Amino acid sequence: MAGLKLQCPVEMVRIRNLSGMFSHLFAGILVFTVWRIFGMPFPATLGRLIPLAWITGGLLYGKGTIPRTTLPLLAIFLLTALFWRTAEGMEVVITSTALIGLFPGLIAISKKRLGILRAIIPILPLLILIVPFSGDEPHHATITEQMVNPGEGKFGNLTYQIGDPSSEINHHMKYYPALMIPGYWMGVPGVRLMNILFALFAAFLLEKLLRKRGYEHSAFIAFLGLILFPGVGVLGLVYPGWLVIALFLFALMKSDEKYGLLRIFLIALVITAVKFRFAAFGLGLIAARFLETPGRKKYKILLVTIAGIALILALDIFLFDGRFAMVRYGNSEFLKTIVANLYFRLHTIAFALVSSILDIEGGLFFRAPWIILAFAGLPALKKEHPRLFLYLGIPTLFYVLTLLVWVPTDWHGLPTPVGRMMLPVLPLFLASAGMLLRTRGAKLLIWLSILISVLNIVHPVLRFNDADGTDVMITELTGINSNITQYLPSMIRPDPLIYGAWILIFALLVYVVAKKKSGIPYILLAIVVFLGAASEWDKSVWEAEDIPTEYRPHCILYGKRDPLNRKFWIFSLERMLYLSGSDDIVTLPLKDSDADSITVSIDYIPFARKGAENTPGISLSCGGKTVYVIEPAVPYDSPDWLKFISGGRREFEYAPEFVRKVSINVTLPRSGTCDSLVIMTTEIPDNYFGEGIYLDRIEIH
Amino acid sequence: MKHINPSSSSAVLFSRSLPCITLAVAVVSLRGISFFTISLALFALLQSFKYLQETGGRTDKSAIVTWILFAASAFYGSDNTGISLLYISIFIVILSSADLKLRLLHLLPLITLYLTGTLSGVIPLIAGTALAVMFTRTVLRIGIFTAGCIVGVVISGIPSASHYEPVFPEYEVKYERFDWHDSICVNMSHPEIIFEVPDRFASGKRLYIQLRTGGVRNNRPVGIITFDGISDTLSIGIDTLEFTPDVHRITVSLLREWQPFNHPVIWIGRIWQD
Repeated sequence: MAGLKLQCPVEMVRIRNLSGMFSHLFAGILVFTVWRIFGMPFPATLGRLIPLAWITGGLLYGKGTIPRTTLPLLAIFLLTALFWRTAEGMEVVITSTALIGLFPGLIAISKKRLGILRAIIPILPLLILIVPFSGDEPHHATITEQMVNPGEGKFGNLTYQIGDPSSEINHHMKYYPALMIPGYWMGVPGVRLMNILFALFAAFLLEKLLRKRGYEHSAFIAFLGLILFPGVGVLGLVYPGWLVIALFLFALMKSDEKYGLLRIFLIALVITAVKFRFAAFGLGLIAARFLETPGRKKYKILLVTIAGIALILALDIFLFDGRFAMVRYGNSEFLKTIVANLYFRLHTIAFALVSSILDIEGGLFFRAPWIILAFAGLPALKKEHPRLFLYLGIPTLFYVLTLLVWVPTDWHGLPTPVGRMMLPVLPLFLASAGMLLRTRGAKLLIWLSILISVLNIVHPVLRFNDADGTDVMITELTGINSNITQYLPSMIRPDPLIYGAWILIFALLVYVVAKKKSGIPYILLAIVVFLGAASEWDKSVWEAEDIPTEYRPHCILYGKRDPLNRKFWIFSLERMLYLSGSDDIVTLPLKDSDADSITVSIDYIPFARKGAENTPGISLSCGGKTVYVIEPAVPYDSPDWLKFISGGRREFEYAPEFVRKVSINVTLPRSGTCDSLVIMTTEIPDNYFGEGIYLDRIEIH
Repeated sequence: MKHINPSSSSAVLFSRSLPCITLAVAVVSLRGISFFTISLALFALLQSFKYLQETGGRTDKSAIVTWILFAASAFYGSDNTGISLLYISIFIVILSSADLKLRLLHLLPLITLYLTGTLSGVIPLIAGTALAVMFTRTVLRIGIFTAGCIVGVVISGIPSASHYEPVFPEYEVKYERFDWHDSICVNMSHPEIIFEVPDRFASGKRLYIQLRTGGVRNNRPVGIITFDGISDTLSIGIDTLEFTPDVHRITVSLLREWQPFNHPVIWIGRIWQD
């Protein structure tokens, strides 16, 4: 008995130590069972992969008690599951709540031995198996295939892509696809798995780097890098971003050692070879070393760098026939574009810089609210870790500025995953956010970001935007009829007032966190309450391309969804609603009002074929009253920057996207029978396809 | 952590409850008066009471969870998603709160929320909650609520919308042919979908729809497809249906009601014209 008395507490402690593991295993079984009993959607994919994630999490949990937030989050899942049939929007809610409860456990695992690896394994199937194999992924994988098994066709044998210099030379270089050869035999999951390895390598290096610099929660920060945007957007996808970060961090780790400078040079070259776009990132590393080096020695670095670049370009021309740099961006045309953009398009570049943070589709803020911590933490990072700040900050600055100057309207890389092009900011942002983990509001911002990541993990389509002014995630959450979009900043449909308001909100949030004041929850709550209410207000502003089908059953949209097809719409990337025949009618409901008239403001493009006698006009009706407006179609002139690049040769094709928008204001009397506004074209004699009006925006007061 | 005694500092008390009051006022003034907004505002007001009553003004973890659910509910609004999330928020407070007065007060927004009338099958849950309110022990409250859920599910199934609006998917035109992008699914949370074919594209062209129907455990029809007054049932399997030219409106609806271990679904994979 005495022996038993002594053993009992030890056994109890052992069982208690395994409670984390058992509770996760139990939760996995529970989620699976509830999914079946309640008949929830996606039973074959999410209904299996999410419980599998819980069970794998349990198996890898090791010793430790259950995190305090796991069970409440599981309870929320059970409650939301009960309500899943009540609305279409609940599908997103239940699938997210089913997974988010696992994350406290994953964070706990990440702090243990080999924690980052163990914590990422449970969600691997979700990251690899359910994301559409799209964008550049099949192109990279096809190059891999060409090296080991040409023509097999596992990835669709895609041989041409927009941007390829010629039919023989691919837009993508072969060094990165070569690294995926070990995974080739497993098909899509195999090549994706190789990218998970690159990402894990980067996370391990970051953890080590931060630990060396004295960060208290280095493993947690590195794990956050993997699971939060922009990192999670391409985690496990066939894109070279994570590999570049791994190489960059490797160079940084080795920069102090013997031959550190040589290593920096070599890795900067390797980074460029992986993807030419990242050349500035590597160059930034050299620049940081230059700035750090005292005295005359720094000018040696400058000379060696210039000589190195010249040597590479010369070798490229004489040995590789220009296939490395010349056919891509190591040429005078590219330089000309940069000069033209800097000289003529500074405002566009500045706008792109703001949009890279705030734009609803491609910006980081709405996918990763944790970046507020990153911005707020920059002064602390500079003060406490000046060298780290320099070595992370300068390359990030080089990369971001080069990207924005190079492609000021296409910096986002849409329709590929949001944040893909901004991945290099991650080490700096994580190091900076890591300075403020204990600040008020930090936990909330991090958990909000985790929630958004979870939404994008369980519904991967939410990360693919079309650069059309509406965000897929917001549309999925609020429905296509919601007018929330008009209150969110969009680079495609820029509104100075909305942009200004969001810049202020962002600045306020950064200020509150930086000054360690309370109030973050209230500010966020106020934003959410306002947006939620605004989304239900009577609609007075309609973006024509967003008008629901039932209000425009016979009209079609002009401009394809894929922004690559609108890439050269240099005046506006907006899609438009095309009205041509007598069946093409837009009927917009009017809100109840005692006013005896309505004022309608419409932006549209009138378009007639070349040589046509008349341009189609627009007809507006309310009740029995109809007003006709006919405006001429006036093509745009070529902008200065384009003339500079093309030497004045470039002429536009005659198409609606190159015709000036017309803004009209019409006042219509409102009689008792007028409960809707009807918009049509005037008669088009031959009904020539393409001729008609292209609606952009309608405002009714 | 410093506890604030509500009676000792009325200024602190006021400052703590002010955001909640502001929020309640904001909800009603921004959204107008409806049973949903009244419930939302009442819930926001009661949270200030909860702070002071239970945590002395501190924000504890359950409060954060509740606030996130409240925010999500306010974001979704009077859509059934918002209403469902508010139900869940109220249930959580009632089940987790140690204070009887607070629990009783939370029945108020629960009642006003029920008056929205947009959900059916919630009465057993409300009854279970109302019964659970009286018990001091949290485990007992959760047990009674769970029993209410089980009874409710057995009697009337899981909660659903009182009325489902049909979904009108957006369409595009590719190469002058009509096209609905992405695959669209009909399931128990949105059981009806309507495709309107523009006249210009309906005339003289045949239309094809590829359907994948399944998720059930017997061979009875899963759904029904209706076009120009003609109906046909849809059973398990993959079908490609061909429509004669000039079809203008196609409705796909789910026939099945909720049953455990069944996930009835109709995936509309592709629609195209020849």
